Amino acid sequence: MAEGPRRRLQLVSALLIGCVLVIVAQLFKVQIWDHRFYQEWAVEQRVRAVTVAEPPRGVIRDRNGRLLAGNKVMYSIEAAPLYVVDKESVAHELSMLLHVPAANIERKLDTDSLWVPLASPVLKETKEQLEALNLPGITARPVWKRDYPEGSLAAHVLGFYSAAGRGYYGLEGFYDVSLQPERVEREGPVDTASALIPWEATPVVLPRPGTELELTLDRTVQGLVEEELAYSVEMYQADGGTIIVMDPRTFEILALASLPNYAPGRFLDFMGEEPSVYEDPAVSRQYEPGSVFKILTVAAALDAGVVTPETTYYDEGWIEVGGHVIKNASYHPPGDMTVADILIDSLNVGSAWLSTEMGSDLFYRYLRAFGIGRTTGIDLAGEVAGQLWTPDDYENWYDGYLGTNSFGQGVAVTPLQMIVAAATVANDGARMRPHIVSRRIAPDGTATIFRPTPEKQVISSETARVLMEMLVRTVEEGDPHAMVEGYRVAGKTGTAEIPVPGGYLSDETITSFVGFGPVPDPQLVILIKLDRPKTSHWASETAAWTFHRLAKRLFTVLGIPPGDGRVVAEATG
Amino acid sequence: MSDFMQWVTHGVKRGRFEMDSRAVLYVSTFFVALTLVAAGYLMLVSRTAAQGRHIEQLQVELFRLQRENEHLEVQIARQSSVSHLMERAIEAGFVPAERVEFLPLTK
Repeated sequence: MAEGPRRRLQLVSALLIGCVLVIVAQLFKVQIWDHRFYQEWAVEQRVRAVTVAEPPRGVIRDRNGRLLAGNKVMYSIEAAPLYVVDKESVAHELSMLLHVPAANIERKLDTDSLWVPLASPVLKETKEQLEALNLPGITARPVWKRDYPEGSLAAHVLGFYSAAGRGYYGLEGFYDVSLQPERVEREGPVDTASALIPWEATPVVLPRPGTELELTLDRTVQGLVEEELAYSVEMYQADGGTIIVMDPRTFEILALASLPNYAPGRFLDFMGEEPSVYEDPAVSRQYEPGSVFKILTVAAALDAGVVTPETTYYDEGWIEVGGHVIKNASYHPPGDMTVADILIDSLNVGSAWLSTEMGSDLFYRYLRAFGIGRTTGIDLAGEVAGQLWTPDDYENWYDGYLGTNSFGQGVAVTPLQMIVAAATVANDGARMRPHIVSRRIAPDGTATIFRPTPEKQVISSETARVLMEMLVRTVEEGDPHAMVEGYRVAGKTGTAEIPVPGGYLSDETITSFVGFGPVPDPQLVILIKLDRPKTSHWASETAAWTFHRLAKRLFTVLGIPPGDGRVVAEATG
Repeated sequence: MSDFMQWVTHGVKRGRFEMDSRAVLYVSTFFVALTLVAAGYLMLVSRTAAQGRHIEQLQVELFRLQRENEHLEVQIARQSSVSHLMERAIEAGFVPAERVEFLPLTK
């Protein structure tokens, strides 16, 4: 080849090779050198974690599987303003359907937002009417709404779930985190509408609801209890009240009711009331229990061996303890009285004598063992510990407490603490932890079963048996209104004064009765508490009657035969 | 044509490019195979995407059925609630049992 052409060829080749090298270098830079940068940029733009589905919150059922708290489907009406063509016309049509002013809707549609909410929640029927209109840019997204199909039944036990996504009070509050479901999310490339691009066959993700709770509560018993409570509050013109029904063999709560109450499905309607109706008085409000507390004082004295049921003391109608003069609630002729008489005639002097004979160390040790002054550990939100001052509390202790505490004044308990103490006696002296959830079923199907176990042997079984018979006599000889025909029941009334700054109210009381049966093998413990009844200030004329009526009905419904120890039949809903 | 372009193309005109039939066959076979692989890959990806879409639709249906189920359970619970049953019982003429007698059975 001649020199000239060969040089031209070399030059052209060099130019072409140079161009190729530049391209290769740029490719190298983009695909290899800056690979991580561009990959991250692409992921940032394209890949999203999209919520595929929101499973429902865990449901709550009674012991027979009846639904107490569930979830129903409603819809959130939303709009993509960019896709809405005739905004004025659409706003007008939606306004009639959603009962929202057309101007409000039009204002929302007249924005540059990609998405705006219009109304939530709406019923399924409204959503179907909306779909029939076939409006472009308007969608209906399903949302869960918590529902309580039994209305106000067991309101305080359940609590409520707010639209803000949190449970409050009761079980909804205590188990809020467990009841929340896990969101079903999938990560992957999305299109311009933020919808996942199904570019690979991903495994099906089964939506799992939150933890399901199965309660010890019996819906039928709860209904009967609430009916009786409402009847008693009206009959005795009380401000309110509480009834708790428990199985003393397992410390399962069969029913727990308080008035005033509310409907969890409409909790906003009750907001602002004072005191708050959301708080459960059974666990969150303390009161001075009065003479029902003598059960604990006598139990302690008998178990400690300080006295026997036949031990006598001379009751002259008053006794001084720590500089405080204590008298019997009603006149009683002076004379020798037995320990059993302290319960039968509800003698404040006798119980104060018992506590002083025991001494503060022994007396308060037993009260602590019964669970007074501490929470029971029940799985309900908002439990308080009550109040029990002992000589160790230098700032609050007063020597007279040793006397007044013996008959339930100067000490504060919750109704639940009181029934736990009584159930301890009914359970041969063994205290257990009260509970209201029997089973928790996790989203993956595994069940956690609560097995009741004794926490402490507070008094011996022998002492418990002796005390039980004394309490039967207390009902038969002291509070016959509480008797149940055909059954032997044990129990005690309490008529407690209400403390105010500087003293006690003179004309209002809290009346209560705690009882169990059938003796000798109790299968039910029932606590009745009525707040400030107006027809009578005395528990024997109010709470005792309530116990009589309720126990009679529950023995029938639950198929509990008169005290021969046969296994109780389950109530059917 | 300008002097520069004449200068550039002069060498190309004088170059000799010999065509070998075997080389042509190899190159052609390579491109055909490449095309087949690319087509097969596209088919596979397309089918996978279709499967993914189908699975997604099944998932949507599954969620819909779950919602329907929950909703129905609540409706059933409302119809069998204590208050509803008591209303129905009273309408049907039932009254609370007042007196129950237990009959002891002997062997």
